[in-house]
Parts: sequence; C-alpha cells; structure tokens
Amino acid sequence: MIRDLIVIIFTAMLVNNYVLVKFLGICPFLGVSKKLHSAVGMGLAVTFVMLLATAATWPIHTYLLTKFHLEYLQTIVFILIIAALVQLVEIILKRYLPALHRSLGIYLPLITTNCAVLGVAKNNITEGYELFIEAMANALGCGLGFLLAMVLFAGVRMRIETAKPPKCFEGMPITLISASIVALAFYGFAGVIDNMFM
Amino acid sequence: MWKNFLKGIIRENPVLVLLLGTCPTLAVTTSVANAFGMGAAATAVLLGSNIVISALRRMIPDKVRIPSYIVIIAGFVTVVEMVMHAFVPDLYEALGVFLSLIVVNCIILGRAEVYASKNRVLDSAVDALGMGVGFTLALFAMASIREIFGSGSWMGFEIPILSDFTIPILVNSPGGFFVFGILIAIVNAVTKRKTGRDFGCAGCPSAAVCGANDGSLQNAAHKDHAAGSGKGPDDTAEEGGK
Amino acid sequence: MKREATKSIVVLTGICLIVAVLLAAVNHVTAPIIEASAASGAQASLYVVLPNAAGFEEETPEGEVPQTVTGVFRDTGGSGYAVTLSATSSYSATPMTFTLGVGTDGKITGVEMTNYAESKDFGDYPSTYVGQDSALGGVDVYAGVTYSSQAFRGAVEDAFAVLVEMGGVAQGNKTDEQIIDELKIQLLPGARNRAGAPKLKEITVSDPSVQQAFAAENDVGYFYVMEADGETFAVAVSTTGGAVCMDLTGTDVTAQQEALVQRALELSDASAIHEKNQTAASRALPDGAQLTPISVSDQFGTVASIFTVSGGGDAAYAMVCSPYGYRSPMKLVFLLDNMGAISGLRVSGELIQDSDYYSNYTLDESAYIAGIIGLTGETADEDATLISGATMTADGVWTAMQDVFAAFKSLTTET
Repeated sequence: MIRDLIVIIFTAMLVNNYVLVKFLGICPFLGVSKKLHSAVGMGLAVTFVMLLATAATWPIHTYLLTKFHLEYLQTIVFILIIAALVQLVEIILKRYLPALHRSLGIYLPLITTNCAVLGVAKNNITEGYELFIEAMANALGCGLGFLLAMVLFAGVRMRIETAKPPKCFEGMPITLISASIVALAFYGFAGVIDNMFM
Repeated sequence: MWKNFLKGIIRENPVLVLLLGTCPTLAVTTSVANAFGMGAAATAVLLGSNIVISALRRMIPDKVRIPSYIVIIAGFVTVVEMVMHAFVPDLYEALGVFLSLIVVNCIILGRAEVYASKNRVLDSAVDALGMGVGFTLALFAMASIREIFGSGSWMGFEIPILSDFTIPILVNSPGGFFVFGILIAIVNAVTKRKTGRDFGCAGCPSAAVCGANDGSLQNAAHKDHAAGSGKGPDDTAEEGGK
Repeated sequence: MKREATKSIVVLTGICLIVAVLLAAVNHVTAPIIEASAASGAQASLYVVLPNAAGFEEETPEGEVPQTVTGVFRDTGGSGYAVTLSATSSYSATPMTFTLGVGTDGKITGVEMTNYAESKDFGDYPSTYVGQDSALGGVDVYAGVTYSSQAFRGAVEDAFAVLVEMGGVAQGNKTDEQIIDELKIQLLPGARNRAGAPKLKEITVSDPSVQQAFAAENDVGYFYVMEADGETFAVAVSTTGGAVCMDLTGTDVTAQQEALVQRALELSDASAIHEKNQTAASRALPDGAQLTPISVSDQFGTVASIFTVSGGGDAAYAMVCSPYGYRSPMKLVFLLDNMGAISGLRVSGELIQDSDYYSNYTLDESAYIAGIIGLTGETADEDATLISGATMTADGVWTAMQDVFAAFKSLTTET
C-alpha cells in the first residue's frame, strides 16, 4: 500500500511532471519563475490548492456525479468548486493567518484559472484511482513536481538574465528554449520508476 | 469589421503575440490534425461564449461577472466535448484533458472580459472568430513544424525522404518548448518588434480577472513584471525593453 | 446594496440552471451515440487483430477463466479467435486493455491496444508478439516498462491457456532454452525471488559433460545443464544435499542417470557456504554449542544449511534460510527443538530492508519473533508471519518457515 502510494507520487512528480512533460500550468511556470522566492511561493500554493481541490472534487465525483449519472456536469462543477475553494482559502488565510497570507495568499487568485489544478482534478478521474488516498497521493506528486520544476527553472532563469542571446531571442524565446533543455532532463526519468521499485 | 477580424490573426495573434494559451499550444501540436481539432473546438467555445456574454452584458451584475463567465464558458466547453466525443471520438481521445481545459484557457476568459463584456453582439462574434482563427493558425504552424520534422508526415500523410530522417524529440515535450521558442523568435525578427517583451500578467488579459492588479500582488512577487498589468491587450504589444 | 446582492445571486443561479438544463439536453442526444461508438470501437479491434474474419461470436469458456480474459470471440468464418484482455500492472492504476488475435494454427495474428495510458512508451513491443505461438519463445520483458510488459505477457499467456483449454488452438512447442528456464524454477524453487524469477548466476565448471552451470545467488543450490549420450538433462543440486535430474520432457530421471547426478553432486562443493552459515547460526546459540552440518536428500527450498546442535539448550537443529524479501535475500536462522517446534529465530542484518524507504516504518522485531516461537508444522499459519506494509518480506519469512518444517519432516523420516 505504502509502496503503491510512493510509486504514484514519484510517477506524478518526475515521470509525468505536469509542467515539463504534460504541459499543464505553463503560464505560472513562465510567469512567476523569475525569482526563487516567488517560484517557491507559487509552487507551494499550487500544491496546497491541488490537494484541496482533489479532496473536494474526487468524493463529489465518485459519490455524487457518478451515482446520479451527471458525469457531463464534471467540468462545470469542478471549476466552480475550485474557484469557490480558492476564494474561501483566501478569506480564511487573510482573517486567521495573515503572515501566511502575505507569503502565499498573493498567488491564490492566479490559481483559479491555472489549468494544472483543474487538470489534476480531471486526471484523478480519468486515471481511475479507486481509493481516495491514491487520488490525494497523485495530487501531492503533481504539486511537488510543479514546485520542483518552478524551483529548478528559477535557478536557470537567474543565469539567463545575465546572458546575451541574439536580439530576436531575448525574453520569451530564450526562456522557452531553456525550458526545453530542462524538460529534456526530465525526459530521463521515464524508465527510472520501473527500475527503482523492482 | 474586416479590420476587427484581422487583428486577431496578425497584430494581436493570441498565441504568438499576446503569448496566451501556451498550455494547449505546446501540448496538442504534436500533429496537425490535433492542432486543427483544438483550434476548432476553442473557436467554437470562443464564439459561443462571446455571443452569449455580449448579449447578457447588461444583465450580469459586476460582482458575479467572473463566475458567470466561467459557468457560461464551461457550459460551452462541455457541449463541445460531448459533441466531439459523439462524432469524432478519435480526436476526442487525442486531445484528452486539454479539451476540457479550454475552460481555463486565458484566451477565452480574456476575450470575454476585455471585449465581449463591453461590445455589441456582432462585434464580439467577429472578434471571437478572428481570435479563434488566429489561435488555430498559430497551432497549425507549430504543429506543421513538429509533425513534418518530428514524425516525417503532414496531416498523417507520410513525406518521402523526410520520414527516414525524423527528429522524434520534436514531438515530445522538450521539442514543444523548443519549437515554440524558435517560432516566437522568428515572429520577433520578422516584425522587428522591440524585443525584451516578457511573459507574465502583462500580456494576459485575465490579469485583471485573476487579481493581478491587486495592489499586494504588484508590490510583492509581481514587481518584476507588473508593468502594464491590468491593461488590455491592445496596448501591451509594444511594451518596452529593459 | 442588498438589492444588488440578491440580483447577483439570482442571476448566477439562473445562469447555472440554464446551463445545466442545456447540458442535460445535449447529453440526452449525444450519450447514445457515444455508447454506440464505444461498443463498435470494441468490435473494431476484433477485426484489426483478425482482419479476414467473417463475423464474431462470443464464446463462454468452461471452467475458471483468469481475470485478465474479458472476452473470447470466435470467428464464424473459422480463421481463429480474438481475445479481449485487461491486465493491471503494479505500476499503473489503470488496467491496460488490448485485443489479441490468434489464428487456428495457434499463432498470434495481431495485437491491438485498446486503452493504455503509457502505450506511447510501449512502442512496438506488442507487435513483437505477432507470429508467436503459445510458447512465446521470441519475446522478452521490455526494458524500461518492466512491470507493464510483465503484465502484458502474463495476460497473453492467460489468453492462450483459455484457448488451449477450449480446444481452440494447439499448444506451441517450447524451445529447449525455454524448457530449461522453466526447469530452473521447478527444480530449484528456493532460488526464486518474490517475483518468481530464478536468481542464478552462471559459473564455470571444468567438466566435459556440463554445458552450463549456475549457482543460486542466495546460496541454496546449483543448477546444471548436462549432456549424456547426446541427450540434454537438467540437474539441480541443493546445498542441503538433495539432487534431482530431469530430461527436457519434464520426466524425473534421477534414478536412471545416477552417474550424471553423482557427477553433479561432486561438482557442488557447498562447504564454504556451510562454514559461513555455521558462523551465523552459532550467533543464535549460547556459547559452546556444537554445530554439525547434515544433509537431507529431497529439499530444494530456501534452506541453505542444516546443522544438528548439541549443548544448545532446547535447540536440536539449526537451519539457515535465505528467502528473498523485498529485494535481496534475507538470512534467517531457525532453531528447532526435538519435536520440530521453533525455539528460536535470528535475523542477520535487518528484516525490513531499505529502512529509509520505509522511513516511518518501525517493526518491533522481538515481538514479531516471539509470535513465531513455539510454532510447529501443524500449528503454523501465515498470519503469524504477516507484517502489514511489508508483504514481500513477510512472504519470504513464511516461505522459509514452510521450508524449515518440510526439512524437519524429511529429517525425521529419513533417520
């Protein structure tokens, strides 16, 4: 059991990294990865919301939508739940944990329209996790993978700042090309999980 | 009218100029057929949501603007999803989760917020078509490069000679980033745009939506690219270099 | 202010309701089409794997059908069978489903993956099965997706088992190499790891009759491929002194090939292993206890050495076992009294391997051992060895314990 969960987490984090392999959550990945501390903040906030979103959407899908044959409302229900959750968390953080709100709260509104969060909620269903804890493990792995990609890429970008690429490559193009090289590194994880847990 | 349509294709191309909707751009452009499917689906959603939101613009109270837009967009996305599942199941499978993720595509919500909520129905429809076609063309260009050089085929037809010398990495994730980067660089070079343009909330019309012009956000993490956040896309294209 | 709030709620609720009703309407129209196309999609895969089929009729195989086989379809035109399969690997939560076509000659005509998330990584692995018969001689486990390809192969084997049982196709002929691989498992079961694979390393033996020689990685025995009168034989020798010989049809010819077996026994010098095990066993006993290695002739399990004990209190025998646990073999010393009850158990090294992997995993080892002491061949059951969360380790202990009791039984009947 523990082993299964660890395999799920590592698979989601390294092999199927949401940002670099599955292309989910590219906007914050490119937008907020300029400074290390904002990259960490965004990564943690996304991980937190992914866990929260899974904790809400998985049971609702499994015990409500499937039961009443309302699967076609999945997208609409999920996005509303995520939006409401993010609002709620922001209000709670602002009221009771102002310190945390200052460090993480500013990223929360950005997350409502982050496709990685909705992606996790939907993938938990399509990948057919039968247990709640498996879905949560997947969400955790995806969130940590996002955090890892953000942090690694923040380091890369700090170097790019000082580099001088050809004029037309400045800004976005050179950022994308370095993202390509980081993604190439993650590509190497493909066979790792199998061999690690043999 | 014609100008309104054309701006989405060239001057304000959502993908290559405004740098919106990067996730589907990178993910589904492994083949031209997928890119077309994605472009068509997004255009349909964009058209529907723009028309409905524009028609309802006086009825929807400002406070629940965003949730209402999201519900309307999600409704259209689900309709498109179901129709595609029923009539083009292969394409539906190939696009996978990205079909439902049209809901959170910044292009759609961005056009709703920036254009449809302020303009007449007909104008909004033209705007939606222009943006949709611009999105589709950008995906098409990117997918053509990736499919021709990555799989040695185009629209599924094998290309002689090239199919013996494929670069498979192009259809994988690193190739997605790479081709997109090169493509933007080419656009930069051709249009001689002032470079140094950066990614971030500046180029994203939903910056206003998602709270990026909230004071706290600008002051903290977004200081580095807060310039122009909250501005509409019409005036961001020429953002100055550093 | 209040009026505005009410209006907001009413409008938002209204929009939600209208959208929901519209979606329900669209769903009403598309759902039957989706269902129909899904059903025809499943049928389509049958024609892909058996392209010349006239039509398909579902068969109901008699007897127990493995879980992996979800449907068996016979071509009404008589060209063969299509089997739909669903295999779950321990790697992925989603089962992979695929359809296998088998011609009347017993050879695979086609494989079509119908749902598999990682099928991209699978590459053209499934197509290497085309043309194979039930022996599956030419396919290997696919590096990189080991778990998935093992599950895949297992499902294909299940499909053949059902088809052969039904009398649909003939069993394929195995190559000598495959038979020898199977004999390794059959003759020297103690050398298998938890996945069931024989863990043997090839050794060099200078003897003209020996074609290939292997030693078990966990020191429980040796396996030889030998030749006599132009015929090939498989001989297994356990370090506890057992020896068995089989020809490639799977017939036990130990009695007929006495010279060969004798030669194999001579080649298998296990004294170094016993010496090492004696040191391990003496640590489980009070100082001054005397250990003498003995042998039994019919044990091929995980017991590597058996000693008689004198001056060791209750303990009359000490047996050193090396079952496979989670990864590498464990070393367990079982002490037995005169009646065959376990009077002591000592674990060399850690029972739970890779403790950083189970970082929060704590096993009270002394309590665990206390639960095992006193058990005999009659009273032992699997629950006593159960370690929740470390199933593979527990399985290993249980296997070793059964082997120990079997060895004791054989000792008492032999002497």
